[in-house]
Amino acid sequence: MAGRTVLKHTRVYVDGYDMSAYSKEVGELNWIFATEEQAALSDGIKNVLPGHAAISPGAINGFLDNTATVGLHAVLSGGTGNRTVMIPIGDRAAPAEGDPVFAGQFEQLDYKAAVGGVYVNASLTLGNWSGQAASLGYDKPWGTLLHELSAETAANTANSGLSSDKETSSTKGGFLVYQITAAAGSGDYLATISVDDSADNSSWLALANATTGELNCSTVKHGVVALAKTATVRRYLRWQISLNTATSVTFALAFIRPE
Amino acid sequence: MAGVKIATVFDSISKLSVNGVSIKDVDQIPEEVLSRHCPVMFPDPSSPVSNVRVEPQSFGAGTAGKNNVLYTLNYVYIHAPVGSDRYITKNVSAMVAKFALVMNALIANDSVTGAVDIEPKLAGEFGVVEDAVGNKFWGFMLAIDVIEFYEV
Repeated sequence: MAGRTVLKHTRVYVDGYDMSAYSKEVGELNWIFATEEQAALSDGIKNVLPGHAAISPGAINGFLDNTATVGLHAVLSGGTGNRTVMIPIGDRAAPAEGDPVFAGQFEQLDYKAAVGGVYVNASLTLGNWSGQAASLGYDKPWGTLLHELSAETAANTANSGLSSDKETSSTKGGFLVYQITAAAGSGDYLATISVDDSADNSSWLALANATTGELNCSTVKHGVVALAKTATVRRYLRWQISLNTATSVTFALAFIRPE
Repeated sequence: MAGVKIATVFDSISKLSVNGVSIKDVDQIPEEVLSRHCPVMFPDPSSPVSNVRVEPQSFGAGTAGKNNVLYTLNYVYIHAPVGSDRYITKNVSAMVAKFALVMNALIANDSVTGAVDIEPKLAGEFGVVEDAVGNKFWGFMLAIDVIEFYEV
């Protein structure tokens, strides 16, 4: 569905964990080309890399929930670090393929608790693009959700219809962001998540280098895979999975393409 | 489809599944409630809709802008006629259980067709309610606050 939406259809995925039910609000999802306030043309400008956006999700405010392994406190109280973040925004329903998503890797700057009479909240601030992020060369965090967080048990043979907004084909690369929250199978639950592209939404090929590589999905996995900034990406995109010893993988996948 | 969708929301709520409770659409309000109809929940015939207001959300006059439409749907839940069981506690405890089931269904389906969000709340009596001619029933009054986007 297109159009306006409301907060409850936003989701927050961090480092392979679904933080949605622990989160109350997210930050401004900043994407700005800023300059130092009051800077003159001849001044040296600090904290700004010319031509690059300052990108940050801002703060995530939630509940201090100590549910073992998957609770917000368990996942994010461990200190600062590099976080893989996806914030898909569903259109008046849970996020689905084609919905907008803010995604990337960001440094966690803090973790704070706020105690009140009837609540104990927790908040954390995410800084700008992580220096470790493979996507550092890109300056856009908004992309398309190619796969909503759900389980898949077979390769994708469907036409997605997920078209570039503006271009039939681009040579500006892009990057994928993935969150694998659960899996089933045998051994190490091996599987590969990747992206296919198509010129006509009918004939599909694997998009070169847009793959996670084979992952051990017996534990949560997350990350960013960036293409070369001149890589060709055809008009349509879809998710793909190759199952080895995994029989089911629950994942979310986003692709951000400069246009 | 652009427009006020009150009838659609009534219809959506009537299609919720609550074990043992018959939820009626606005065009299915019973003329008379008999024992065999219970438990039943239907729009309050004396005030099915209240608190209607429109809140403009964007620039644009008339339908060119975005508007939120907010209102409350009022329901009557009838569990059983007063005196239909020898022991009061049986009807009261069963009614509390059904109230929980109704709330569960509404909380779990807060994006019913026609609405962007719904929030149920108890409104008025929880115990004995009367019909238009003064018959007494075990029941409660339920209000459901609705928000819809006019343009979708």
